[in-house]
Amino acid sequence: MEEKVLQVKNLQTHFTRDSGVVKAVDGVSFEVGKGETLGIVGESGSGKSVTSLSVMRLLKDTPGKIAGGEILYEGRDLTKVSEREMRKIRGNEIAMIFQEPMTSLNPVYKIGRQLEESIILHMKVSKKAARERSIQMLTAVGISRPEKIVFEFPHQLSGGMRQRVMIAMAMACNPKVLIADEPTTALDVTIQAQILELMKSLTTTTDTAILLITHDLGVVAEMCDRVVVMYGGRAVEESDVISIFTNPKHPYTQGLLESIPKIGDRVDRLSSIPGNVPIPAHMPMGCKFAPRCPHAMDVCWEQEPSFDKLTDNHSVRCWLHKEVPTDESNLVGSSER
Amino acid sequence: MVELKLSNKEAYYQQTLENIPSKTPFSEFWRKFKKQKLAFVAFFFVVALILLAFIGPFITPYDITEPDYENVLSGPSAQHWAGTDAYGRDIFSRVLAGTQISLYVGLTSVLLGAIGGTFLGIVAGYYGKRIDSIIMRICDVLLAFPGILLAIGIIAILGPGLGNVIIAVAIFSVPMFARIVRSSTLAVKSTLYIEATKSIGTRKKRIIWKHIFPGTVSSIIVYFTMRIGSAILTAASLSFLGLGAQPPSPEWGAMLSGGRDYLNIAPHVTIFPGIAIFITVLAFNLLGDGLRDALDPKIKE
Amino acid sequence: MLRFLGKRLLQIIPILILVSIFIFLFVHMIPGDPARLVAGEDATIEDVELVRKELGLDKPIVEQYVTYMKNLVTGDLGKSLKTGREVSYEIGERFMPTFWLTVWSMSWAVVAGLIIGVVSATKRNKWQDYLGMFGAVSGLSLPSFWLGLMLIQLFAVTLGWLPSGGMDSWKSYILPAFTLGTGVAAVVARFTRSSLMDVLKEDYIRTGRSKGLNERRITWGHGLRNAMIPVVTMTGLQFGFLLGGSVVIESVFSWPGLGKLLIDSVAYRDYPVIQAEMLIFALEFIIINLVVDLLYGILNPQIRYE
Repeated sequence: MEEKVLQVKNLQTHFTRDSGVVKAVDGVSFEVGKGETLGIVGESGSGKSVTSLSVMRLLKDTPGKIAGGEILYEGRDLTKVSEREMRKIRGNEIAMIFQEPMTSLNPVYKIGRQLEESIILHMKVSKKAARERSIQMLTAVGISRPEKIVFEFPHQLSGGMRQRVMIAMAMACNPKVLIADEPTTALDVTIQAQILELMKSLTTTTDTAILLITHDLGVVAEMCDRVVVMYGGRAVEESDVISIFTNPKHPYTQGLLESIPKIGDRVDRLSSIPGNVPIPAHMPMGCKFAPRCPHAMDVCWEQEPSFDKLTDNHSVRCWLHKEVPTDESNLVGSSER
Repeated sequence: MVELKLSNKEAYYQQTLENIPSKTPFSEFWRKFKKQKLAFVAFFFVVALILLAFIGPFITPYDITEPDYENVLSGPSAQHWAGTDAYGRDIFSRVLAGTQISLYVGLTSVLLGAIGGTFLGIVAGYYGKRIDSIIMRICDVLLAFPGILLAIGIIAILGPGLGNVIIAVAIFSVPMFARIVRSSTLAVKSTLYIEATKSIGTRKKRIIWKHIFPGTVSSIIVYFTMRIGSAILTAASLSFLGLGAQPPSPEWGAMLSGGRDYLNIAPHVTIFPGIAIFITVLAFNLLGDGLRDALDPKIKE
Repeated sequence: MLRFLGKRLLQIIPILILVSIFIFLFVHMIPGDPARLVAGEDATIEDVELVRKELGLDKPIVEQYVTYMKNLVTGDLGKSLKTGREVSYEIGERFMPTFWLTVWSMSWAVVAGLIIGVVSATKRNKWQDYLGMFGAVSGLSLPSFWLGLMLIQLFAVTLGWLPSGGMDSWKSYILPAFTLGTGVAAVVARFTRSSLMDVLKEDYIRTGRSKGLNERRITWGHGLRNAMIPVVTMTGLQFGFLLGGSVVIESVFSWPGLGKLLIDSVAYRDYPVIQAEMLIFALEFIIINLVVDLLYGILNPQIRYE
């Protein structure tokens, strides 16, 4: 754990709605080292996408705002830099690829132009050099005939091809961090594996750190070094990938793992976690997972557990793994609200 | 106290149940509509205009047709708030009385157009195939003539007059309503519940009236309101050109037409009827915008 | 692209035929006897019959239509009842003034409408947006003939800066073009705003931001280029509105164009001229819509390459 490229500390992202403030991300912390891949796992609505958009400061057209915490990129707090500074970082030092390759490319511009745009902007090179660089990048992402593809429009490419283009675009300026928000969810299973393989091989050569946002534990197992499990806007468990899979501590993580089908097991019915992610506007006041938790105790309804280290390399937010406070009066007081 | 102990869990489920929205479509509409303050004001203004259309002719301070040669083209004063015209008639009274004409022309022409267009649109959208293409080709032909030109052509055939203006405006509203209703009919038709009723074996007429028509109502209402403004404008333009209401009718466009000869010596004769047209049309347009945003944000122009 | 063009041209043919039938029947829809109409009120029965023969009105209606179409193709539109001159001559003289008036009106209206629409969309729910959109709905609600008269009163009568009517110099264009374009500018502004607001929600806009592009580049480069696609279609439809509006505006500004000719002809019941004018306006509108379709194809690569 030598050099940390990106450190997120107690991030708070709040959405202002008619009905009041919704805490979409409420105190999430994690760090990514150079060349490391960190997975952020959770169901939809867990706040994982909002977390990634917060890091990029791309909340502009949402009602969301970063309300607290720090996002340290190479020691600079991104929550405090100017929009102008941020634009120099975006696409250049921290790049992002999105879930929807079909709609993430501008339909009216040719592929080449879209690739060159950020190369010219950040690398300050001529159009010709940018064209060369984009062809080089397209080759690197495994697109054949790249000198033809630069003259094509997005709708002429398949979904997998478009995601390759997105990766080429994101990697074109040699970013230090690549944020990938569900990069393979919209793709066919066979294409998924290729895209993941591509991301892995590209980033190992450049030592780029990856922040991989996904709901797919299979993807996590394949790609990640460390994993943060998110639920209801909070990190509920964090550890290295092996510990998460072999020794999950949080009931939610355990539930997620149980819902993966295993090869060889003949089961009639896949297990799933009962219930739904709570609506952000209406969170339980204790542990956010309590309504769905098989082990929920009284204390879980009363008071939210803190995110504590079990070992050096494994943290969890659960009452099962800590001493339940005995201060009765405090509990009754909080329940009267 | 013992009861309180577990209340947190129960309170959560209680609240979750309460959080399930129990809004009716109307209350939802009303909530969204009230948020649009301009449209809300316009709504009350339109209501006031409609009232004025009924009582206007009875509350005019002066007779609207009787000439008064003592007071020809006098400017606004305490006696004549908006001045008098070339025959000494009180312009304020005439504008007041003209409300009825403009609203009547606007509402009836669009209503006729809407009825015709809705009928054609539903028939075209529901039956499809041959009937659809015949109806839509006719609409294309009508739409090939820019709106007011079609109206002028129709008046050239029928002769000038307010009644013919209504018919002309109604006719050029038909194809637009037909197109809108047809497309929403197609949309409603393709949704599953129509498939379901069809498979039960409901009669066609019943499907149209019970399922397709209600599905198109919101777009009809929005478009209807938005059309009234432009229908009033078109009717006033035609009267201004001498093709609609004829003098001494206090129709606003006709009043303007009468006033333009005195523009440099008595601009008030043209100013006030023009303001009346502007405010009335503006109210309908703002109301239409508000209804659109509250009912059917998909409709654009 | 060529295939797309060919397809659109083919689609127009039935509409053209239907429009020509409609206009052909126009004269037959007028209550009363068209032959008597042409011959005049106090013509003798023999005269009327002579005119009927001359105009071919005694032939079967299908044959009349064929003759009408043949004449149409050779540019023979009949004679004006009022002046006795060829209708094609009357119209030819009036065509260009109206054409230039609509072109200038359209040009300023589109530019102004786009700017207002983009500013409103990017400053959503700020004062610029409220001002722009209230201005637009007002522009939509203004009676154009009244606006024209008020402008004449202000700029021609009171200030004496611009001519009140006629077509003598470039100055003569300012007031009529401004008046005629107001409504279109309003519609373009409203439509651009809503179209651009939709586009700015798209994923590729977020991609652009994630590349580090600035907001100006996002809005004018990536946003507007996409938002223009529906705006262009809608602007084409506005051309019809403009052609219709020109009839009113030409009357206000004594503009020697087609619109004024039409109103004069309606007053005189000069049917051959009315008929020809309807045809010209319809043709112009159809052609403009074709041009718009082509423009749509150019702006939208998904159509261009299909």
